[in-house]
Amino acid sequence: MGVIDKLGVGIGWRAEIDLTVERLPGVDFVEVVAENLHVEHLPESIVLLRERGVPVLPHAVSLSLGSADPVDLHRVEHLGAVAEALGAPLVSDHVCFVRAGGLDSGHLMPVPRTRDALDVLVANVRMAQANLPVPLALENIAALLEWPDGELTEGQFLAELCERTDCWLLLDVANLHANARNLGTDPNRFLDEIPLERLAYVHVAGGVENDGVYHDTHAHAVRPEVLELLGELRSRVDPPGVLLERDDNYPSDSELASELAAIRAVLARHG
Amino acid sequence: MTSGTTISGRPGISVEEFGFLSGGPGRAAEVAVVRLLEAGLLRISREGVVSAVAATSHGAATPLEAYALGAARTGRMLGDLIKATAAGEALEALRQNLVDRGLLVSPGRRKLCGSIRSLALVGVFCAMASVALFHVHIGIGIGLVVLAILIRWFAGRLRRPVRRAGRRAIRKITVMSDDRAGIVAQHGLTGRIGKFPRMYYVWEMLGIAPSAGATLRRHKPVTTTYAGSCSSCSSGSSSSCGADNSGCGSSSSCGSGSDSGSSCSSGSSCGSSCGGGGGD
Repeated sequence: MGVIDKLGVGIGWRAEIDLTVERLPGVDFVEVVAENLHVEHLPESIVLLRERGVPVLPHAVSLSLGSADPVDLHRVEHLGAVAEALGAPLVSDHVCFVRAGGLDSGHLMPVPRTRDALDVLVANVRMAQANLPVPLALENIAALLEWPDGELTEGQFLAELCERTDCWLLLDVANLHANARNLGTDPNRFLDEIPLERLAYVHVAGGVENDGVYHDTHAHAVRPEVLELLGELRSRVDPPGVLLERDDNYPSDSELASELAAIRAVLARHG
Repeated sequence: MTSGTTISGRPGISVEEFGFLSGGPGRAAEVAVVRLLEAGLLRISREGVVSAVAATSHGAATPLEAYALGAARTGRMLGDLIKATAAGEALEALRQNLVDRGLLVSPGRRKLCGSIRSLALVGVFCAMASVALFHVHIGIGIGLVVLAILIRWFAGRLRRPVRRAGRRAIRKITVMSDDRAGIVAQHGLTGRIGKFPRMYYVWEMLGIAPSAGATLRRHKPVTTTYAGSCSSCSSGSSSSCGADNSGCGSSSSCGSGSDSGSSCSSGSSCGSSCGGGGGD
């Protein structure tokens, strides 16, 4: 049992598809990008969803917890304020860094999987947790490179992070697929190594493969390989929630509904 | 350009053309956008962000619709999209077609008539000055003033955007109550329909959220440009034509605000196509 007993199947709320999200059948919960929300002026659609009792989970992209720089507490406070405004049971960000030396990368950059980098990450996560009103979940990212001299596999790295910080895991199976495709990592070994009992919920997203490189675009349909990984995960554990992420090139309502239905079908088939 | 669509019981005039003749280029653009929304090729958010559902112009019934679909590919505020569409090449082609068919006055003729009106006004002052300064007979002065006023009035009549044939065509059109695009063409999105005291805006009839409808009332200049199917489509204000210019205000902002210091301006950060960056 995770930080939330049961979330169900959800979709990432984006301003462009707010009405779609509201009218899609069977959306059990949604996730919002915390940096895009102002606590004083929550979007009408979000307020409506909350009034309906739909859980709205803030998802951050800018804490840069893997950065050697100290955590920006203003960003943490904003994330906490959003969580309180939405009555969210948890918040999330990524195992990555997005900022260094005063420069923003604009991307989620992988953290070197060394013990030194883990110490830095643990310190930053603890700092964030101390300033957040709700539990923090951290997500595995997709990367196109690995730093040299890694001492731990990604699964070991996340397992130790969870053990030392009591954080939760937000598992992105599309990122898992991306890393398997681009870096040659073993998804099954990853799933063997992470503490599945710390699973908060799961991300599923679409992508595209160009010239042998998989791009986690969130702007294409979910690929069968990603759903297969979701099935593999489901055969090991019943995740509290599974969320479809779509950030661009939004398809019709019926196509989004089909993708949600496909996720439900995988969960049912492997349950 | 022919759109292939007809307005309620009036073959030969498309609903976009009806919109143009009734309310100018902005009205025609509104018709195109509304038809795309009704067809499910565009979607609109509560805040008024309009975005294309499909990544191609497949499904657009007219060049104007194809233009609007392309312009909405990345998501734009409703008012901004209408204004950009009204200033695009496709709409210029629609205008030229109406001119060629004798339904609309050409921009050149309108400009000429405008110049004549200005000259007539100068003539009025010159006539008055000639009486006061050069002791021209007051009868001649009055005659010149009356002549200048008549010329100015006549040029004003000729300058009206819709020709008599166009006005006659509009009068013959009957819009059915279930013809939503036709209602937009006739009244505009910001037009009011219904009977007093139960009147409402056309955009309300279409189910557009109030905050999205509000984007139609903003009249900020648009600085964004669309470089899709049109090479030079700066979305400045379009020339007025007909009854009104359909209130196509705009806002260049789109979607909810983002944290200025965020690593990702909107949406979640994803994509791993650059320098080893990760996707979430």
